[in-house]
Amino acid sequence: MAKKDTGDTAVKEPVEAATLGGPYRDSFKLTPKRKEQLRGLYRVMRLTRDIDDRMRKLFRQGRYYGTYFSQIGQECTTTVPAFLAEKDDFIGPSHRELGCMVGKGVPTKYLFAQVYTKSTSQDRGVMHPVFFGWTDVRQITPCTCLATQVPLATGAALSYKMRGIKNVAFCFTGEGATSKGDFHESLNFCGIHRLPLVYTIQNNWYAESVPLEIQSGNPNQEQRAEGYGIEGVRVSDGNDAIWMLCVYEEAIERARNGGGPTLIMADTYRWYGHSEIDPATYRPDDELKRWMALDPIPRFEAYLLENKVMTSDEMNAIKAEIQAEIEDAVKFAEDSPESPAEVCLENVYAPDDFVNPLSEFDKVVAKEI
Amino acid sequence: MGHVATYIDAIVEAQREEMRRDERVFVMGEDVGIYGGVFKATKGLKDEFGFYRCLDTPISESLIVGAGIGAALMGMRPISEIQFADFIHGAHDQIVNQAAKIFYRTGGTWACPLVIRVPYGGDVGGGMYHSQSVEAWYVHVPGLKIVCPGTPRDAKGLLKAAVRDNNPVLYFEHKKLYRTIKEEIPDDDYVTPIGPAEVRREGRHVTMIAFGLMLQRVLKVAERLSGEGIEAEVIDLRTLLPMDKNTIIESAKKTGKVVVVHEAPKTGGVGGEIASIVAEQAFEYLDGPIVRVCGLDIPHPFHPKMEEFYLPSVERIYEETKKLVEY
Repeated sequence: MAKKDTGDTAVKEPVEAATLGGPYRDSFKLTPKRKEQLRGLYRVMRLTRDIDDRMRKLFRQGRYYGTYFSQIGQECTTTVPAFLAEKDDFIGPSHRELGCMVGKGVPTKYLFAQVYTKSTSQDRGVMHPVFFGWTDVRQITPCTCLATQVPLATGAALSYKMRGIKNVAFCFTGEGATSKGDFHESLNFCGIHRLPLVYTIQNNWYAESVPLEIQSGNPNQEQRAEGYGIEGVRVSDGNDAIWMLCVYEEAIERARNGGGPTLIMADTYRWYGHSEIDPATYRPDDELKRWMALDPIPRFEAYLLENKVMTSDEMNAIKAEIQAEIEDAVKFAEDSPESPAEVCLENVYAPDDFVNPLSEFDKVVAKEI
Repeated sequence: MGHVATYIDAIVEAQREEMRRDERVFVMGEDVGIYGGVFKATKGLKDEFGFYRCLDTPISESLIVGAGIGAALMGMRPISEIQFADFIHGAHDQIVNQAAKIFYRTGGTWACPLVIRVPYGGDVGGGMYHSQSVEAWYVHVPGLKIVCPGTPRDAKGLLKAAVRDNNPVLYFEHKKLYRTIKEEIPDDDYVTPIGPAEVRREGRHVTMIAFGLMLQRVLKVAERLSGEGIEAEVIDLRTLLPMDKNTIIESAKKTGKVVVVHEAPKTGGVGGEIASIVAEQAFEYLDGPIVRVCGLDIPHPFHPKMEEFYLPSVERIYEETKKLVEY
């Protein structure tokens, strides 16, 4: 039986892979174009998982400083929207959004250079390992002061609307960051101006250690959308790649064509602690086990195989390719030199001749609400 | 050729000219559009440039700054107005953790060309939430630029410079100065560079350092001292971050005596920083203690008598300076 399309509780029971698609299951047609898209998405999801897994292990081996925020178990909530995004679409991630980077096409070797804080990363090793970001694909590096990226995405969406640019701003937080004022101030503003923004609440049930029921008076946070006059959607199986794909396609289409923002709350689960130094002992014993059974990647793989989108040989070839890519990336990062300490003195101020992306002149076309 | 303008005229002119020059420039804030700003600092801009380029926002300071940052990243040149400096703290996170650090944390690949206009300061009968001078809290943040114009000419020139700067600039405009001072300013496009201080008056007996409203009071004191044969050198800081240390140090070496005047509370104020600069770099040249004449270490009081007592008055500045000169 397919799971309910709006939910007020966690998905408790494992579901059959064939049920992927949620409420879209019957209308989702596997055209040749679709199949090609799903193969692309599969590669991104698999790559995200394998990079994440490798980064965790490398940290545990003491190969780099700091800590690591794994998103294993919740790949769909970042890879799907980032995979659908266009290059000039803004992405405002939080600290657990590796999938955004992979989905938007940031080269794997730079991701490893980043966690190793080496001179070959975008920030040349100045920032913490998890400060992934890549200006080329309009993805701002995360700021670990939660929800502060939300007004930024809102401002990017405002500028798109003002200038008549058909781009979309994506913003990601967990369910915990929705308690911050920046969330409210931004969504309220997006609602007023019907800005092209797609907001994702990745509900993994814990804000560090605090469970959703003592984070939010109404755990159905997508219902807040009504208060802002915007669309709100709950995906109660955020580990269902097909369901997520359909929801995001609708939200992006709405945003790109003047229909305004969408607030999506997708239920998922992080398998490990808040960071690698958190054993996550605050969670009930059997909870992780139940959610591991809902691992988004094998479910998606089973779907692709069952529906003959991919063969197991094709999948294995991709997996091998990914492993080789990761090995190269680890080698690139480990071989990269560290920056001299003096590099931290640079880039405090932008020079006069600096030009930001999309600074070319565009006529302001927005006239009124 | 020039024309006479008040301090607030200069602010309106600067915004209008920059918005005409570059269509990416826009203003957003509370009451800036339909109403033209509570101080009329955005008067006429909505009529000329339309709804979105002079945008009335909800009462959301963090959004006003944060959305400005996002728009700046995507190639716009926003001016975010915070209605009163006292309200800026709702946007503190955005200013300190986002705007100031974006260029740094993106490895110099993404700049934040944002102006935050902040009406501030006392002697306006506003009470503690409409009068504070909050500049020192932001001087502590690398990545920001901070300007405090003290004259109409600089108000216009520095605002134009701020709009054209590729970094986040906090533009502190003094509410008391809006309509109490005027001067002739050039008709043509001019920019006052961010950074250099201006020596408003040359002298050899004592250096007086101030900005904003206190500059006007210091100039009065200097005039009075001059009548007594004491020539004060008056430095208008204009830019608080980055600070023109050289002008401060050279003047301290020349006069050997330094008075710093500001209206924010003394403890933790910009005056302490200036005193340290002088002590570190010009200690051997000093002929007396570095004196700070500042607001009191209390919340900004409302009653006119109390506010007068709180702020450095011409009389208090005069007495403290005279005492130092005679030290």
